[in-house]
Amino acid sequence: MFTVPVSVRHLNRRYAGAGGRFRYPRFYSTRRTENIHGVMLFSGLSGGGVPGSAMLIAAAVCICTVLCIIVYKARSGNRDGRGPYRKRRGLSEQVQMDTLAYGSRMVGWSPLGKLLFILCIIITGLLTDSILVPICTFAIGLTMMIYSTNLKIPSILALAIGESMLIMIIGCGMISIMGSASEPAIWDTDILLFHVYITDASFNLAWLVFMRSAAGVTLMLAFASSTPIPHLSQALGQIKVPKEITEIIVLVYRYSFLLLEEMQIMYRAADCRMGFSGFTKSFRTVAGIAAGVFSSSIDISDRAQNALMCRNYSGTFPVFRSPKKISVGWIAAVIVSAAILFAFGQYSSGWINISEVFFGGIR
Amino acid sequence: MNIRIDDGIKTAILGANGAGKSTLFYHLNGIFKPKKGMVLYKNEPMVYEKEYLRRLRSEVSAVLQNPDDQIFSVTVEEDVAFGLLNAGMSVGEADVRIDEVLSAVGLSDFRMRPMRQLSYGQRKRVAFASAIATRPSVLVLDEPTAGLDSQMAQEAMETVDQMHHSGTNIIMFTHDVDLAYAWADCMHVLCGGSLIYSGDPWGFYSDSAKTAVSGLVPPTVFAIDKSLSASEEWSADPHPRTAAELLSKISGKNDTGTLYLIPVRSNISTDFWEKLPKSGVKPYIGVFGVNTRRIISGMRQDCMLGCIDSCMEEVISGNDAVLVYDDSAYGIIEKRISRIGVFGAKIKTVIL
Repeated sequence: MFTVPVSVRHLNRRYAGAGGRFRYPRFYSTRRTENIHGVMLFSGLSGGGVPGSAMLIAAAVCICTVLCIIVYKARSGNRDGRGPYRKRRGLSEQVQMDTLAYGSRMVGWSPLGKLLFILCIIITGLLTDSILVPICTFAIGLTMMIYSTNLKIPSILALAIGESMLIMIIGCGMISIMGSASEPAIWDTDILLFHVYITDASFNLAWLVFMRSAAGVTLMLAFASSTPIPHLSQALGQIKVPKEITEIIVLVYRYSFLLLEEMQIMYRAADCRMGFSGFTKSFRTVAGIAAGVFSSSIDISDRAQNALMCRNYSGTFPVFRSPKKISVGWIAAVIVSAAILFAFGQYSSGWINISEVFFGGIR
Repeated sequence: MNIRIDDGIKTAILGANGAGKSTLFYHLNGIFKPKKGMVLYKNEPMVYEKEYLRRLRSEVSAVLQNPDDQIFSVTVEEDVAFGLLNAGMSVGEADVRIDEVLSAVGLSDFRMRPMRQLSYGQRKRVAFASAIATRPSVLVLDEPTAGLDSQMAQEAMETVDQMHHSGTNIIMFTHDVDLAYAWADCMHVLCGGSLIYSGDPWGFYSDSAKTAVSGLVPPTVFAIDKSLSASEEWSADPHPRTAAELLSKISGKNDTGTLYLIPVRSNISTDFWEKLPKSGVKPYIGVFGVNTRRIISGMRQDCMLGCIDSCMEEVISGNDAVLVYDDSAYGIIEKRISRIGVFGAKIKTVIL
C-alpha cells in the first residue's frame, strides 16, 4: 500500500490649558474651561470638562484593578482551592460559554438579525439626549439577557459584567466630578488629590454615559450569550465581511481558550514550585507564565496547522447547521424599534433631571 | 529508510521517543514532503498538489495522539462534519454519515454536545469518528491508547479491530510494546530516523541486540514465553501474543469451560439475563463491540464485565464464560478462538 523511501494600541494628550505640559489633578480648577474631545466622543454630547491626565489616572486605576484581580485570583487559587483549581471540578470557560450559547433560548434566532437589532438600538440611544432612551435600551438588553441565559450566568460572564461595571463607574465618576467652572457647582470640595466640582450638566452627563454604557453591555452580552462563534462567523460572512477576518475570529476564539488552559497548567506548575510565595515572586511568575504562553502558542499553531491539513482544511471553516438568515421581519422589527426609540427620545428630552433627583433644589 | 506497508495487514510502527515516528506519520497523508526520495501510495508517487492531496487525505485519514489537536468545532456533530464538508460532501449526505460513525464509536447520544464537555476518552472517540467518517481505505493512528485508562484503551482497540474487520487498513504508530505485540501482524521498528526491522513481532524481540538498540523492552507475554522456552520440554513455537494464548500454551489441556456467545444485532432482548446458563456459579460475562457496550452500559448490572481476552482466560481455566458481542464482529471472535486452539486449548462454544 505505502512505500516510503525517505531520508528522512492615544489618549487625547492635549493636557488642556496646561500648554502641553503635564499637570497634577490638583490644578484642574485652573483649566476647567478646556474640553477634552476624546471623552465627548465617548459620551456623544458636548459639554463637560475632563482633563487628559485625569483620564490617564482613571485608566491606570482600571488597569491596576484588573491586574490585582488577576494576581489575586491566581494567589487565592493557590491558597484556598479557588481560582484556576475550581475549574477542574466544574467546566472550563469555553465549555461555559459554548454551553450557554448552544443552550440559549435565542440560539435559533437569526444572528445577523440579532446583531443588527442590537447595533441599531445602541446607535439610536446615542443619537438622542434623553436618558430615558438608554434606560429603555438597558431594560431591553437586560430582558434579552435574562431570556437568553435563564439567569444561568457563567462565572466568566459575571466577571466580565462586574469588571465592565467597575470601569464604567470609575469613568462616569470622573466625568461627574469634573464639571465646567463656568457653571454653578452643586458640590465643590477636595478629596485627596482630586478637586470635586460637580455641576448639573456634568452629573447628568455622567448618568447618561453610564446608562448608555450599561445598555450597551447588557445588549452585547445578550448577543454573546445566545450566539455561538460559528454562527457569528456565518452572520459576518452574510454581510460580506472578508472570510479572512471571519476565519481569524473562529481560530482566535478556539485557540485563545486552549492557551488559557495552557496558562492554567502553568499556574499550577508554578505553584507546585512555590512561584506564588510572595508578592514580588507572584508578579515574576505571572511574567514568566505570559512568556511561556507566548512560546506555547507557536507550538500549538504548528500542531494545529498539521491537524487542519490532515482534515482537508482549505481556508474556510464549514458550518454544518447554518444559522437562520436575516428575514424581512427582522429588518422591519429593527426599523420600527429604532424609529420608536428615536421618536420617544426626541419627545422625552428634558423629562428627567437626574441631579434634581439626587441633589433636590441645590443650584 | 524503505518501508513497504501492505494491504489488509495490521501494521504497527514502533520506535522509542525521537525515533522518527511522527515525521513518518505526517508523510503518509502528504502533510510533510520528503526532501529526498518519495512516498508511493498504491504504487503511484504522491503528487503534492491541492486536488491530489484533498483526495489522498480523504482516503488516508489520520488520528492524532492528542484529540484536542484535531478537534476544531464546538459540537460533536460539527466536528465530525468538518472533514466531510471540507471534502466537498453535501450537508444531507454528511448528516447520514455523522449518524453512522457516531453510532460506530458509541457516541450517538452525544451528537449535539459541546466538545469540551466530553471526557478525554470520548474526545478521542470523536477523533476516531471524524477520521472514519470519510470512509478511508487507510486509517493512520498515532498512539491510539495514549492517555486512556485500561477500559477505554480496550474499547478503543475493539473499535480499531472492528474497523479493520470491515476492510479498513490500519497503521498504528506506538511505543506501547505490549499492545503492538498483541495486535499487529507486521511490525516496523524505527531507531534514530532509520528503519531497523520489518517483519513479524516475535522476530524482532527474538533479536535481543536489536531490541536493546531500539530502546524498546520485550513485551511481557514474549518475555514469559521466552523464559519458559529455556526449559527443554517447552517448545518455542508457536509464539503466544496475548495472555490467553500464553495460558492456553501453558495449560495445554483440552477440557476447557464453555464459552457462551450471545450476538447482539441492534438491541438486547429483555430476556437477555434469562439466556445465561443456570449453574451454581454465576458465569463470567465479557463484552465485545461498540454497540453492545453502549447497550449494556444502559442496563442494570450486578456483575463485572470483562473483555474477550478475559473471557478466554476464564474458559481456559476451566470455568464457563459468556461473551456478549456485536453480531458483525463474529469473524473477529471466531479468529481469536481458533488462535487459542493453536496453543492447545480447544474452547467449547455455544451460541445462545
